[in-house]
Amino acid sequence: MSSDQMSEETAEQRTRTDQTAEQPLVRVEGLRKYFYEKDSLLDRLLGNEPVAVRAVDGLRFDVHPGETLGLVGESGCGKSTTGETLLHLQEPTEGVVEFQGENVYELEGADKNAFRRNAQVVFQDPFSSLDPRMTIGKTIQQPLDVHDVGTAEERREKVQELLERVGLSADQIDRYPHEFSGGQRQRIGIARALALEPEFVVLDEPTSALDVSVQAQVLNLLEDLQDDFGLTYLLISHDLSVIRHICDRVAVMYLGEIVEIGLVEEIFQNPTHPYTEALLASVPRASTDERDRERQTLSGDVPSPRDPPSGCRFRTRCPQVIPPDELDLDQPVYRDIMNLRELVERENISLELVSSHAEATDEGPLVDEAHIDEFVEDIKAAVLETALPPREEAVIDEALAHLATEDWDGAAEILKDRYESLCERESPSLGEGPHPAACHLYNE
Amino acid sequence: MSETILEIDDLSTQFFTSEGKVNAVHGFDLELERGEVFGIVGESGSGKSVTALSLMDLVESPGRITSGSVGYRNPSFAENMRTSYPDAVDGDLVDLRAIPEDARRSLRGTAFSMIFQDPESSFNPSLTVGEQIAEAVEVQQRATAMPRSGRAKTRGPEYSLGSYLMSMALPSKRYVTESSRARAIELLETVGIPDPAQRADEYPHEYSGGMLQRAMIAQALASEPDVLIADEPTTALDVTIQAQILDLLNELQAETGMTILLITHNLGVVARMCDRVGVMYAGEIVERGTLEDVFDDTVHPYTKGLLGSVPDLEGTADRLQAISGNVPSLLDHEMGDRCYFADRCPKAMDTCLEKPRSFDVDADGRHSVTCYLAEENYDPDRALEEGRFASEGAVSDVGGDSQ
Ligand code: SF4
Ligand code: SF4
Repeated sequence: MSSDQMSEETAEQRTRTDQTAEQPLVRVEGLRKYFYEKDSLLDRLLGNEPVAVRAVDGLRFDVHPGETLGLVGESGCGKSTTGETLLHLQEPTEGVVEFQGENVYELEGADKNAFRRNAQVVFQDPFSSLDPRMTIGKTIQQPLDVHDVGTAEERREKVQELLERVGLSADQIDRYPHEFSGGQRQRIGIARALALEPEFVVLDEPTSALDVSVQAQVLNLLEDLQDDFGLTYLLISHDLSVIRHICDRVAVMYLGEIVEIGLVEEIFQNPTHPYTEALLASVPRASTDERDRERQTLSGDVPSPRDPPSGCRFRTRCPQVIPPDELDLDQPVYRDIMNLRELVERENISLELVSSHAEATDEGPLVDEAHIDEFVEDIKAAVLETALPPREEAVIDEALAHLATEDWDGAAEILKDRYESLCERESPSLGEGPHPAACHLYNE
Repeated sequence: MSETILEIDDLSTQFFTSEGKVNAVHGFDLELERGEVFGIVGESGSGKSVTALSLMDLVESPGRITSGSVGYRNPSFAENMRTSYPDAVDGDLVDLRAIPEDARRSLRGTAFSMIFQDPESSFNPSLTVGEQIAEAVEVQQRATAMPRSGRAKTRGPEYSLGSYLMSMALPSKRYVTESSRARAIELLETVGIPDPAQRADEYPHEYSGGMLQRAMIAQALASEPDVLIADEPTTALDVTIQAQILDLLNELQAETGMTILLITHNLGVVARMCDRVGVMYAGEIVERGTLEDVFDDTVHPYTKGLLGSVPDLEGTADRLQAISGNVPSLLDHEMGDRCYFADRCPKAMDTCLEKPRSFDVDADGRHSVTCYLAEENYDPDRALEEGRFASEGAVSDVGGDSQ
């Protein structure tokens, strides 16, 4: 294909983009992807219930033609699974993905082929995603061969053109991957993804394996290619500065769900969801004021997607978790109490180590009646970080006294009665509008 | 200037490979002050990790430290060494390269501790976390009982076949002594592991990444080290967990007064943690100074390029200023005599065909740069032309981060 034809194609794509401005290119509705553990034949024979890992749990978003939508989140939030499921590289558990108005999961024959050509992916690892025994020319040409595009001559020409376009030189066509650096290999991966002139490219951590100086080259290249070919990107990344730099809109994910979505500037300048806020605050800035920048860090780890928290999934770490109306508590105190509840509910306090008044016996730790008060004080000292107001102290003392007889449920019950949060009872929904956030603080 | 604890002079480490001699670190100079956090920042292939391994005497074949001295200041250690190795001792300073290997290694896990990017690699999967920290505590206690002498037998946590079999037979609670167990639990608590007594009896695979990183820090602290070498300690972690670990390191440093040498590719982490910084490129420090010197009064074009490549979290820079080209080859016969950055440098001039030495930027000598721009201004008339070294063929990254 000559470069003239190439620019015609681009112009054509642009018009198409304009015409369908209101129509999303990709529409995702109710997308779920669960993986099942303990699902082997043996497990079934033993009667083990399969455990669902809820990697992606009910996503809804659109990708508009010509934009870059970012999916950001920490490991295990489901962002990469989302990309793969959306391209039908994985079977969805539930939900619909429409590409140009057609359900991707129901495509067959020629339509399915067209989708495969139109939607491409670039993976993170430029080292393992290229076949070491194939010349880079063959690697880039492979999709053209599979889809039987043009004559052999034309394909080779197209590959040379692509090499030049991604900043390599056409005469490198017969070289092997090991002769290239990481950044160059990622350019090769990009050339391959563009071979079939797709409209939509999923970029899955495209620069995570690269050094920052090389990352900058690749990000610049991706932006140029988007302009030249009118591409639509879904960029999956854990790196907030990359997202900020390259995306138009961003969806923030936590434990398989989108917690906030909107324009990049709005989300970075005015994050609404407490998780987004904490995530942004956590990134260390490369500037000399960084040492004095006050920031709140989140405590604890991300809970397991096998057994996500009830209600809002962020509530076990949320620094703004909502106390019951009738309580008048400072946020740090309430957060502290909620952490205590979590420990009690999971029976995660080693009583005999926390208090010298608890003695390990065969029936578990027992506390002498006379020492229950000291025992309760010991637990509070070990677990709580803030000072409690007297009224709450009384409630908590009463609850913790149950632990003297190892009555964890009794203790948990008392605490739940008084401190149960809206955030654990009800799951906040994402809502509508240009910048929705899934948090009870905003969805009244 | 406060007292130095480490004085590294002209350190070189080379790898002898089939393709030739690789200069992973060469002519490395650094003085670490007691109680500071010094950051070494660089990209893969810069030699930053090999530097760390060289300081810990952990370089493995085909690599070898080929020159230089590592002076460690410690009065009692100097006292112990003075009689047997008078040449190695200068006042309180002992040249660790001039004493025998076992004396040097006795410092590992006692005076020096190291934490890595990947905590899995420093824990034995078949022993509980508590046992392994208790073992590090024992190492420290034995070393204190038998002061750091040339005859010390302590070698850090290495596992014999016997102890491995024991651990299989008696899967948990194989603590050396009750007191080391108690200390291990205390250390786990110090690094913020909730319910440390229970977690001590769990195995490494039962820990999350962030928790295992904390446990590794606990293990490193067991020896009450003078110097903690932290090699990419947060690189494998999520950003909210990274923030926790950085805070933890800061607190521990303030409490114990230990000196931290922090090795990272992340300029944000450097900005958060470090008093002083050295920027490494092609095996040497090309710019060093206080954080402010290096970040705000940058002189070296590579440092500028690095800072310009980081996408700004707050900002709106339209285009990133990438550094063109790739990391240079570190093969001895390919390195040449010019400035190692010359083929990527936007300011390269004819002078740069000769390798620059390190110049002081200001009078107090704290800010120094290996670049002629410290002494003279850029003169476009003397610029080397574009693609100047292209005929020498494309250079690719040599090795990964470990090189
Ligand atoms: S719903 Fe509650 S727990 Fe969840 S983010 Fe909002 S305030 Fe926090
Ligand atoms: S010495 Fe010359 S080539 Fe090297 S960094 Fe300085 S200006 Fe650039």
